[in-house]
Amino acid sequence: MSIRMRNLGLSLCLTFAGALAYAQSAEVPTDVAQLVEKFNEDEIPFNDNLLVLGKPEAPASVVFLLGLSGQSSFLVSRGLEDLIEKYVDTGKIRLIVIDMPLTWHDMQAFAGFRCVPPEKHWDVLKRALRYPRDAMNMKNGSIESAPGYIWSMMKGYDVSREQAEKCMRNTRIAGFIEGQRRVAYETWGTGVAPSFIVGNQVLVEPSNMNFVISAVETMLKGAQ
Amino acid sequence: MRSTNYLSPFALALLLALPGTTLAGAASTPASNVDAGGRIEKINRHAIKSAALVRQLLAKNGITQKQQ
Repeated sequence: MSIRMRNLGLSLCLTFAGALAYAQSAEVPTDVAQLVEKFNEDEIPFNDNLLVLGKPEAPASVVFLLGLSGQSSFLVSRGLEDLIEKYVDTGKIRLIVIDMPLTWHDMQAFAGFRCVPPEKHWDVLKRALRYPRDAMNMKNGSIESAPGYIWSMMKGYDVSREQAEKCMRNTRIAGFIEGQRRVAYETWGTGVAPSFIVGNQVLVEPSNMNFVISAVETMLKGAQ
Repeated sequence: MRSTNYLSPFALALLLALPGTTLAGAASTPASNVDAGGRIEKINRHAIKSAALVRQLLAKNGITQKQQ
């Protein structure tokens, strides 16, 4: 065998090994594949705007990456409202809320919430985060059973259950949610929620909202 | 900013990035139907368009994006 043939054989072996490794890394859980296969492709009208809290003339913006399955419930109940009262409602900052799904339960929930009237979007998110057990129970169930938990969060927000469940499993709306997750990951290098982007700082899963408030104060002083 | 033009790796990333049953990652049997009837590819295509829209909306709100 010539050296050339031996090199060719070696190259083919390496290519095959690479392909095999890639195929193995591409394995996906059965439950996820089965779930997504049931998604519809209907052209459902949905809210495809970013949720922005605060006054348009506010001099600075803070980004909040919100994930239902993270520690957001704790933050929202213990500190986020305080941040909003002191800085958002007073016109010091705008708070831009990004849907950051951490699981396929979250993905279905965020997609469902996108069919709630835009003026009630923040309300339904707050409702979803009000009781930490809601997100916890949803997460502990199967991804197949998530719509039942999500419906309990979004009933009363002017969407029928049938429509809500179509929204939860719609490729277009899921794509919009995934687009947000992707931009957050590519821009700020985090796939974790809750996280806050304050100026140049990325505060990943802050253990205390005082860290966020301190960063906001520093940013505002720097802007003066 | 990283390119988002290569569909397949991102389609897989979408599936792999979000765990199914639990965050702890309970063992699951690998599925043979990786593209879930083509739905993953559809979600991925919408995600690429949406990501561009989200970037525009962020810029409109004064968010300067930087590459990590």
